[in-house]
Amino acid sequence: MKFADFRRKLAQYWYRFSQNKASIAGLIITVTIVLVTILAPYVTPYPEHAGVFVDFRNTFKPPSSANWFGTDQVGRDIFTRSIFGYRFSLIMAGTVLGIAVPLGVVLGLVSGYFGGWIESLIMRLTDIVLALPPLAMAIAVSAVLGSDLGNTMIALAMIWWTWYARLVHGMVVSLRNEEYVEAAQIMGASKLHIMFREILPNCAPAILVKTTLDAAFVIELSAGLSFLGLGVRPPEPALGTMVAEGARYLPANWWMTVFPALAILVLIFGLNWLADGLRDVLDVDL
Amino acid sequence: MQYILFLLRRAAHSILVLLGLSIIIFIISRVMPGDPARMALGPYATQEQVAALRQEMGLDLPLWTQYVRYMSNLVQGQFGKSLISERDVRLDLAHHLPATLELIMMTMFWVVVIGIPLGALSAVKKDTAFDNLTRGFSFTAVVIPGFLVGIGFQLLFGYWLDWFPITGRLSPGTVVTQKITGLYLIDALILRDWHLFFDALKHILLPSLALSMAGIGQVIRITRSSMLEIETQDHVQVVRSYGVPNLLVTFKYILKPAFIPTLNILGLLSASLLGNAFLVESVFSWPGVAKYGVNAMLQKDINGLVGVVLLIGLGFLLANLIVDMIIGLLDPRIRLKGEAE
Repeated sequence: MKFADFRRKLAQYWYRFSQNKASIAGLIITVTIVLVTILAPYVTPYPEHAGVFVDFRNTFKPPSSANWFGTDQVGRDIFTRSIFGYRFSLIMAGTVLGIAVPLGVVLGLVSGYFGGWIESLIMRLTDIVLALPPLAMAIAVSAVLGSDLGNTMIALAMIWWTWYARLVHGMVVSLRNEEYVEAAQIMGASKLHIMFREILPNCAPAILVKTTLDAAFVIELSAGLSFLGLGVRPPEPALGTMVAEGARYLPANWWMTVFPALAILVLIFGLNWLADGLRDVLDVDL
Repeated sequence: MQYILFLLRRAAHSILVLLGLSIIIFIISRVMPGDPARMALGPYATQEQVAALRQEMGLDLPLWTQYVRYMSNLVQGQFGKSLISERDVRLDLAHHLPATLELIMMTMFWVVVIGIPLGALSAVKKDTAFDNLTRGFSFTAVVIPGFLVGIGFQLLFGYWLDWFPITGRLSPGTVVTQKITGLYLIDALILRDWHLFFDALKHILLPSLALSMAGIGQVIRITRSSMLEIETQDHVQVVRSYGVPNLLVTFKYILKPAFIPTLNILGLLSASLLGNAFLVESVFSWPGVAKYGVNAMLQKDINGLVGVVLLIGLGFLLANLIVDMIIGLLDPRIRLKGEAE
């Protein structure tokens, strides 16, 4: 495709995407949160509160202009800690999907294109992994691997690739007999070329939408794990841990629970709106 | 006959999956860093005590022998002794299972009685204000994590409005005079103990509703979309043109076939339900399997962990088998497909 064509196509996509207010809201929320999280030490009012910090004169302060979200049981600013808490969620989502998506896509391509025993092996493996609720599996794995976040994320990725293998496998099976694939075969294209240059681009929209949706899902999962006290090492802030800690001081100090919970919700909603917008524009049926 | 073959094939598939699952769990439980025997005994145990427990648990044997022992125990339904409660894991699980079963059954009840009617109404009243509202609700219900819904409910209905209790299965002072099924609601009905029934109902309401939100959202979505799809098909148009009353068309020719995708979703839903139950049970201090599982996991109780994970896997597979069974009965296309292959 020529560059000018590509730009025109992109402009069309953007036009359709921008017609939907929810999609735009999703995009803005997601981009803002990612930027703010990266710049957390510079944009939060009390960056030192993210670590070990105690200020007993300011414990349990309700929301005010000095502490937008109030303070917690040792006087730390909850707004600051919520922003830093996004780090845990986003690192988790980025790493898990960063490993799982490429792995699942390649295995799905290979199993769908070659078929035979490779297909049986990979698909039976996904059957087994998918027989377990992801949350239960994640809890089991991160309980076993302890507070080591790195191991937990690798383990989650080892579960997560199966969804992408399934998705891509299904699409490859339906695409591999298309005329343009046959044409490429007749022209002597290599198997690698057919898999990655002919078939993969047609799977890309579905993969993109699923990755966006899954980012929200992994973030929900990471909030659930940290809610149970798994995979996170205090005093490092994680939104789920903050919700759990705050819940002990309900209902009097409601802000300790409500604001971190809202922080989780905003990000999850943003990603889901973004995914919905992408789904409409790219015409993906997931 | 074909139906039985279809079921047998599904069952065989489930057993294979369960076998694979047990292997994965074995691998996970044996790569656990830290010594499970040391964990169970605590920091003050002597080296000899730890070594003795290791030997008792078979942790010093080669991995292959350990696997053979593990599998032969599993086949006999033995999970071993919980390292924390020091009881047979089976007893522990049996003790905690009724609470979880009750919660999940109640949740499924809400999903069906709230989700299907809302989805059907939404399809009938397509593009009205009601439809838009329901779709907005279903999106929200799917997206919000269950444990946050739970905390929100506690805050709103428990602390602020003070309508419902927020923890446990019963109020202090309420006793179950006779345990029959262990599901308090059903026991109370059998015993005709209305005080018990309403107390149990009051306690289960918030956790089961919190747990059901995601399912309700999904069922609304799938019921609505499959009804709208079926409505455009030829046979429905024909029935309509014959002058069959609208209500009959909606119920018999549109809603009934729309149950099939909904049932499929209910089967898949049981997975996320069991997973979310972990969090919701811990929010509401619900004394179920998930709570037991979290404790086993936090305290590195391998035997308890293996038991819980296998039980969840089994529950998921059973749920799907039941769904397949019902779908096979409802839909001859699926039942007979095996013949064509």
